[in-house]
Parts: sequence; structure tokens; C-alpha cells
Amino acid sequence: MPAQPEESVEALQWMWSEDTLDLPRLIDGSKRALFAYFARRVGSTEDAADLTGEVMLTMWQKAASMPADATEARMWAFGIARNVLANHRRSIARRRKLSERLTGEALVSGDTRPVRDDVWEALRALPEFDREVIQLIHWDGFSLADAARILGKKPATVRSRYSRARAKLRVDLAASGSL
Amino acid sequence: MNRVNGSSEEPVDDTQLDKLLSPRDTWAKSPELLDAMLVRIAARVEQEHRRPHRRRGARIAAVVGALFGAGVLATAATVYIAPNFTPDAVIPISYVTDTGRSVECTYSLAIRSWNGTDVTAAKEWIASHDWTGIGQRGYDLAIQDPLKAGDPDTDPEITQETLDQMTVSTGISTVVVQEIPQDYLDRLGVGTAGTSTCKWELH
Repeated sequence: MPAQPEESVEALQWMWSEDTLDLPRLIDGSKRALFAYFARRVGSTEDAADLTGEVMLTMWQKAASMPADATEARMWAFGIARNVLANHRRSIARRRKLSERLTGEALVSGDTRPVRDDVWEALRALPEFDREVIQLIHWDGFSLADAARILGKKPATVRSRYSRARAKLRVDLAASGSL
Repeated sequence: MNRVNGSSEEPVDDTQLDKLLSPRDTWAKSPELLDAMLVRIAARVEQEHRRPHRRRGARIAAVVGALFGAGVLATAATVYIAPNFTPDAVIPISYVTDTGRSVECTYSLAIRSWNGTDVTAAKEWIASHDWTGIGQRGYDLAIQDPLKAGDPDTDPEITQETLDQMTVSTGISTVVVQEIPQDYLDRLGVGTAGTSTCKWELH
């Protein structure tokens, strides 16, 4: 073995470093919440597991941009999850279009819905953005401020849409005799 | 109970609504099994991330990092410059290019663990391994699939000269890591680090 050469600092690289120590911890601490995020939205635990893995891989690939602050890092992880979910839905939409056999079929089957069917239908009747706000807050436990960060909107906007969505849900669920 | 916007319907009150919106997760009934599955997924993902990629997009990010240091490493995820790098092995690299030029340089390699995993055996393996021929094999791998300016997944701002360097760097880095027995690296929290005196000449 030759003697150690003069090292070129520019060429020096690490695949593991003090700077990346937080990523495994973030993944470990977020894995169940990320899985839940997908499982409640795609209805298939198998798909949810795949999508969770996809988020983790993206987190590794983008580790250099992971925020140092723990809360910001969690927002960052869910921002990735949101993009992964959007891609997944686009992929499903493409498959549906191609096969022309899923027209009118519910995206999620009844037995895997995370809420009662009538509540599910009331949620589906909301505008997509409003539904996402409700889901982030009630399903994923985010505050309004956190939801606003994940959605890339102003907190005031999210607060307003949240109030509007809740009002509609109250009326719709009462009108349908759900209670 | 509040009325909403003057509706004559009796609205659901906030407590009832909160309860209705709370998710019922059938998959959460076995949290131990769920956690075990997610731990396995996390481990597989980490291995996947660490494995050398043949996809060009991944290659470019990794190799730009290897070549140009921290300024460009924002896209290279876990790669960054360490000022006190101490290799476990200094691998002699020699290869002959397609134009007949002989190249000699070194590739310094270290095995690292961020979570306390014992990597002694891996360090000993790379230090005692006979790396003869690794440079030529890496070059031969690289030259099969050189990066070209204008490729759809190649950043248009990267010059062909740089792409040539990235091609060789990727090929040699790939075979070096692939040479290490998989069992040594396929463990959570274990990775490789490297530096090189090579200029990555393609021709």
C-alpha cells in the first residue's frame, strides 16, 4: 500500500457526517406519521408502505436541504410526502385513463376509509384544498400554522379555508342525518 | 350549538365534528408489527440510497460532489467535505485510456458509522484487500456509458470536459464500492467516504 498522498480538499468527500446525523433520527421519528399520512389517503397499506419508502429515499437524496430545526425538518418531510402523494395520484389517474375500467370507482374502498362513509363523502364534497387542510389538522395532527407551511399558503388563508370547510361539514353532516 | 350562516339545519357541534373527523386506523391495531415493517423499509431505503446507481441523474449528483466539493454538494445529499479525513485504505488506481494514455493516481477510502455500529472488520478488509486492476475495471465500466452534453438528464450548464471527469469518477467509485462485500455495507448507519488524487481523465 503506498503512502498516504497529498489529499485534495476539493475532492474530499464524506458520505456520512455530523451534518447528516439528524436524518436517520428524523426518519425514525416520522416513519409512523408518514405511513399514516399515506394509509389514510390511499387506502392501501401496501401502497402506503411503498410511498413511505419513497419519501424516505427522497429525504436521503435531499438530505443536504434538510432544515436543522426539528419542526422545520418535520414540515420538510411532509412537504416531500405531499409531492409523493400527488405523483402517486397522477399515476393512478393515468392508469385509469389508459384502462378505462375504473370509471366511477371510489379511490378508496369502504373498509379502508379512515372515517365513516358519510364523513368520507362529506370530505369528498369539499374543495380539494379545503379537504387537505382538514386532513392535515384532524388526521395528521398539524396546527393551522404548520398546515399553512406544508401547503405553502399564508396562515390567514388556511385559517379561513379551515373555518369554511368546518362550517360546510357541519351543515352537510347534519343535513344528511348523520347525527 | 351554533347555527351556521343562518341555515335552518341543526349543525353538528364542534366536539361531535372533531370526533367524526378523527381517523380510525385499522392498521394501527398492531403498532409493533407496523413499526417493524417501517424499520425494515427505512433500512432498505438507506441501503438503496447507498448503493451505486447507474441512473444518470443519480450519477451526476454523486459525482459532481466527488469532483467539486461543498459548493456543488447541495445536490449531493450526504456528501460533504471533511477537513480531517483519515482513510482506512489508499487504493492505487491505474488505467490506460482509449487513446493509450497511462494514468496513475490514488483513491483513499474509509468506512464510517454514524450510529456506533462496529465497522472494524470492514476497515480491515479494505485495508488488506488486493485492489489490483480496480482502476482499469472502473475505467472500462465508465467508458461503456459516458455522459454526453445534451443528454436529456444532463444539466446543460455542465461542460463536456466536466462530464468526462464525472464519467470516470463514477465508474471508478462504483467498482470500488462494489468490490467491498455487501455484508459490510448493508447495515444501518454504515457508509463509505473517499477522496482521490485522480484527475479523472477520460481520453
